[in-house]
Amino acid sequence: MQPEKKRISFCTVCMNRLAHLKQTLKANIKDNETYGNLEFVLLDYNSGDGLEDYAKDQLKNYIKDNRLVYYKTCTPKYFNRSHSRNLLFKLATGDIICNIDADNYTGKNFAAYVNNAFCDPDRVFLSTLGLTGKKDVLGRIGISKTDFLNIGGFDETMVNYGFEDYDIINRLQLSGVKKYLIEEESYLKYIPHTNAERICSEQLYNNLHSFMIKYLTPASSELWLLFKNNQFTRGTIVHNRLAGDFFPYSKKNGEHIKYTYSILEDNWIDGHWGDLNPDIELFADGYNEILRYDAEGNYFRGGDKRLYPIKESTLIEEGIFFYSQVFNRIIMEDNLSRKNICVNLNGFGKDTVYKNFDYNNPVTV
Amino acid sequence: MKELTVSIFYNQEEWHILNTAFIIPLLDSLDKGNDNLQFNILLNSLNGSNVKLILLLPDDDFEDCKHLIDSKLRFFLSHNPSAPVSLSFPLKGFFMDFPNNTYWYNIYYQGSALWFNTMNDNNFKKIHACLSRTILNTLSNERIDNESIFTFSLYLQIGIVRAGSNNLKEAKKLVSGMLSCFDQKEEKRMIDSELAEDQLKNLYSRNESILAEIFKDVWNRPCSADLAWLENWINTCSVTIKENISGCKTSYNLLKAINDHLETSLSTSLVTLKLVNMALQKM
Repeated sequence: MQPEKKRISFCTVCMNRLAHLKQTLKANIKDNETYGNLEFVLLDYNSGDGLEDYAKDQLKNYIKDNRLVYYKTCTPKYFNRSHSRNLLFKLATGDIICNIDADNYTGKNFAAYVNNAFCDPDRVFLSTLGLTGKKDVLGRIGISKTDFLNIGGFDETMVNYGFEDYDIINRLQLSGVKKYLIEEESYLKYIPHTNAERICSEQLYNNLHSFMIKYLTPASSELWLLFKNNQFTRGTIVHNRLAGDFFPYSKKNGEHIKYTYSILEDNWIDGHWGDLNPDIELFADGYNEILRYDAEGNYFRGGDKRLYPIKESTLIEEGIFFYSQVFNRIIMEDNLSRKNICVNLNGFGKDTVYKNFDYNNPVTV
Repeated sequence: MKELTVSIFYNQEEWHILNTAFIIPLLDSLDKGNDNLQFNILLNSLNGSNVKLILLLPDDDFEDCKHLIDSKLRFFLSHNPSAPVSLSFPLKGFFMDFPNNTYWYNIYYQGSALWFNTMNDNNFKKIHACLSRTILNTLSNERIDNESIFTFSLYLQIGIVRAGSNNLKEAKKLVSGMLSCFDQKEEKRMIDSELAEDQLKNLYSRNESILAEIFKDVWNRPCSADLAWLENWINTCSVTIKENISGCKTSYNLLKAINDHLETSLSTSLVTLKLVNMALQKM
């Protein structure tokens, strides 16, 4: 007997990923056309790469026959993973909502596979977290809309890149929903891309003025991120798996097993900076310091140590990734330790969007 | 038995001195002529150029052995300090290196997965032991640089292919099988997307003569007397490959063992294996 076909929404957010979407979306629609009770929901997250024109021109037939719904928000300046997905999932009408990143291929009959998984008598969600070597498909999650709304969606205090997907599955599991791992290779194809592409629309990446490192020991260094809005943040990165006299293993239970790097005491110190060309002035609570620039050595002198401005793009990306992920990871660990199931208590996914190019009737979410 | 890892931070250009003047005599004195000391040598550049010596020592003798290592290392480093390593700031990573001419015990947290415990296959224990002895024997005579390590790894790789095949036809089949073991790896995707076919051909033509020379050394069995270490390596690999069901998978795992010891990456192994494949196709 064929299982009942639940209504499924395949949801894709797109901000400046049109090149990927052009390759994946039509293929995904075609690969799942036999399922029937399926909608594709595309959220144009203020994409600046001509997505809207493409949708009007190339996707109109899918929109016309209700296989695809196109929403556009003009609000965000930068990509916000938690907010964008919350907004999109709330717009979706399916009983089951499945996130398909713009660079992901669903593979043939993925919708039927999802439906089968949700025939389980237990409450389940689909995830790829736990697969190794598959970082490009780790955004894939399938969840019942009811469960999604009950736990308050993705945690919107996680404004950076990373761990928001781990956090939501932690909270789903805490609420008694069982994880179903998507292992079938045919559903896990994707378009490879660089780390820079991954974060180029994020606020942090666009707002970064400079990144500096103060080397302390072989297992610890101060990372300094100076932002274009004259704020700065600094924290001591700790290598959790290095011991010896330089630095003890992290005292936090198990942290050295889970994560290679942490921020000392989970503490980023924030302040403001001023450009005294070529020097830099720093202000924070009860603290004021001028970093003197040494042109010969190309470093700033701070206290008895040197701060080296980083120019090498890969290391800057690693720095952004680290800051971004640790920021979110600390929130995730906090949610987990407090067994916090429901987040965003003041609401989530709020925005005004326009459906299928109808700009006369804004939809307020 | 208890495991002890000591990381000796020493300028790579002088590793051959470290090997001959410290590690080999130390191993002799720890072994006391019994020829049953279990040790592994890993060449490493993480947090500074270092040689990692991993020893499995009897519980009863552990503290005495550690004391012996301590005193010998202190003496060696104070009398034979290697030249300072020139560093260009800012560094390539987040952390500064360990100071040159220092040594540290068990600096990398491994949890319960100690090095020797990770080898559940007895044949692979022999492979790692063989690789360690080979490193000591071959990289002790002259200055070590990245090129010499790369050439050495090519010998070892082609040695694996030789160990798993009796003729060129079998060798081609084996290499093709080994390459398919990379299919599911992220490295394969990266290499395939970053290294275009013509770049690979270019790389091959630049290395064609060295590959031909190595093939000649490896293929003619038994290897010449000055390559006794290579003969030993091929024989050790041969036993391991024969005793496992999948020759390709085992050979692929042997490649990974080389990576462990020489700190070569899986991507490098893949590229060199592709070059080996191209060389074989031309034979």
